[in-house]
Amino acid sequence: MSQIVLSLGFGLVTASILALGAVGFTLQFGVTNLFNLAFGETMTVSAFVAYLAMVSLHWNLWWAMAAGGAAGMVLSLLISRLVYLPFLRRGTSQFAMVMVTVAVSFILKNVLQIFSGATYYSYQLPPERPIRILGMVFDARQLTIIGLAAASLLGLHLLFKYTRLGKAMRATSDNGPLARSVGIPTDRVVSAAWLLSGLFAGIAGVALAVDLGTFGSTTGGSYLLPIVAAAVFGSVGEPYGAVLGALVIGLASEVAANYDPQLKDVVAFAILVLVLLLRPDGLRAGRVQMRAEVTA
Amino acid sequence: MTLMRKRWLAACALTAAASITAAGCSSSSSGGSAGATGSSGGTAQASGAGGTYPLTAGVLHAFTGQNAFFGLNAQNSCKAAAVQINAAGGIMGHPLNCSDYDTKGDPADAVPVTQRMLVSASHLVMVVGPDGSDIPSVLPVLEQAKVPELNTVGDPRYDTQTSPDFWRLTPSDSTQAPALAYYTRNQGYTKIAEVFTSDLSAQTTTTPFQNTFSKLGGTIVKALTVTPDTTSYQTEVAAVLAAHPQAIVGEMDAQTAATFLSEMRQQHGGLIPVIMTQRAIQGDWEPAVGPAIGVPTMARYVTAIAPALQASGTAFTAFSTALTSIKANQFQAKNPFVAATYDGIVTVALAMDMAKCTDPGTFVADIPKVTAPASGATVVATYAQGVAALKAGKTIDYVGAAGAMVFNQYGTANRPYAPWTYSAAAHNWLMGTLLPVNAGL
Repeated sequence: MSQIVLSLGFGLVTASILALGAVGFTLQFGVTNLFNLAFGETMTVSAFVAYLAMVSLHWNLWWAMAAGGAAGMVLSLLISRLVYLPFLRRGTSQFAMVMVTVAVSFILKNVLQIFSGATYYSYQLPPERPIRILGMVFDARQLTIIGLAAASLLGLHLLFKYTRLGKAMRATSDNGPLARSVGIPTDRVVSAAWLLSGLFAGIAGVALAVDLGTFGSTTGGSYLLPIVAAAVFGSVGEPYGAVLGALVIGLASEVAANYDPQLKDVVAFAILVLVLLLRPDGLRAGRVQMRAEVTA
Repeated sequence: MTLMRKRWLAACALTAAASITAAGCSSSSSGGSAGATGSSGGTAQASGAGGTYPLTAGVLHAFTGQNAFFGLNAQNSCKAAAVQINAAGGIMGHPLNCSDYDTKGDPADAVPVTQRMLVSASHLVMVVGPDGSDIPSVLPVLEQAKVPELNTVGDPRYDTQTSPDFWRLTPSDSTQAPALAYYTRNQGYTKIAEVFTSDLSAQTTTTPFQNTFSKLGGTIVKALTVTPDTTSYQTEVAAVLAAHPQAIVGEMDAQTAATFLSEMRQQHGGLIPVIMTQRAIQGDWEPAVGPAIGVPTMARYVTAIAPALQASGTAFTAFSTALTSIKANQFQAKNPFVAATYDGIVTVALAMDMAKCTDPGTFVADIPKVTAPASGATVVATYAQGVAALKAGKTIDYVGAAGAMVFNQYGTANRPYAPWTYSAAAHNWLMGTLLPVNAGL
């Protein structure tokens, strides 16, 4: 029993990182309707920017994470403006757009490899004293990551509920042409969605690199699958669903590891398949707030 | 790739293979110009290149992706060998070039790139690679082409293979496992946790290790097979610690080991002794694991059981000098896999000199002869020494940078193993005392 409780704690850390990534992924999809498979590389670039901030500028981890988040925002916006938007304006089909995102992913991954080499990097963080809470074991950094994820998601909730930008995002997501016709500057709203998505990708990338202890040019891309799975689990385009998906995948995989580590992915993805069988549009289908038409 | 293109490449590969097979060598030819495949699938004479056309060693490895370090290691081995061979006047006057072919570490990419290499490489005389994940899919294609293939895979399935073109330069995992068990037991550890990743190259060690360790009186208190590169191993680490092992024995890739061991350090407040297979001394391991757990911690707790390396003498100096001349990281000079691959390439070059022929179908039979310790054989340490001895009509025994490389009937060069520990001061792995063959059993 104590091992299961321990696993739940470990699962919370994994779920927090997945939630940051999945929310960023689904938020951008909700507003732009674009399934962006280059999301993982945005995470990796952010992890590298944070590394440079720590090594070259001697910033502490949290300032470096802020730098990573900022880098994610800039990269995300640049890719959307310089690559995706021209294709969307030409009416490129959704399937072709997915291939464009795959191409961007490959380009970023290989450029990263050219600069970083076939090696790994680490923030070289010193070990911290274990903190026991209700039978679970964390360290201060993991608790900070959990707190950061919770704060980010709360901030997103407040943004949607109480700000004009959040409401404009929801409106654009729900019906882009209608939102435009009532005077919502959908172009700027879409840009804001890319920026926010990039911020989440950046923070998730740095948090992932902290949790793994080491990272390389392929790290972000390697973890895209569980992030997408969490987003799909909770209905793509639905941030609250993505959080739920991240929790289920994070907790289920860690608990399953108690029985056999190789069951980790099996159990997590079996649950995903089961949910999709019962609810083909994801767990929160019908409650989607961020589904959208493309545009800009 | 379209079906038509695949068929076209396959047809070209078969044509190239047929041309190699058909080509013969004049044993008296000093030019030794026949046989190697030309870019158009023809022979040296057919290409009209006279006596000094370059020969190609195809380096078929992952150069991108997570296993890219395999390609970089093999590339450096090949370049260093080519430097030494070309400085001695080439192989019967033919310079040796190294050409890279990127399998991306993915069998699906490896086969088409192999076919492309076979049809496009000019005068291909040997293939260096591929690594363990690609070899099952690539080997049939290479066997059909009848080009000698030099690899360092550990998979015991190849322990009794019979292809005349398969040359394994480092020992099988079936001999690594007893060395791992022997060292672990000899350190006084009777209760250990076994942690291997689920990939094929790691799994081939588990059963022979378990068998030998139990024969030596050891107990495995926890055996885990972990999936590589997941976001966390916290639960697995907790399970290992709950079993209270004296040490951890296993094989993990760089990223997995970095995450697993740093999480162990976090949960346990430090590490327990960790004994890894040869995977730990591959080039990507220390840069990943060292910073993640701290280099002093790695130096103190981690030991790798890997093939022994000569690390001194004329052969090693020549190898090290060649690595310097190609501006390779000197870290690689102490990597037994890099040294063994370098030795393998020099061996194949000497086999061509012995056969006086660059036709793979002819010189392949001479590959084991140039490293066989026969009575009266002249021991040579460099390519130049080997050529000089052969020209003097002597039988040679090439003992290279990695030490003696004696091939058995199945094309495997078994070597002794040794424990390697990381030295923070030397920034490199340092070899300990040789371990007994088959754990002394």
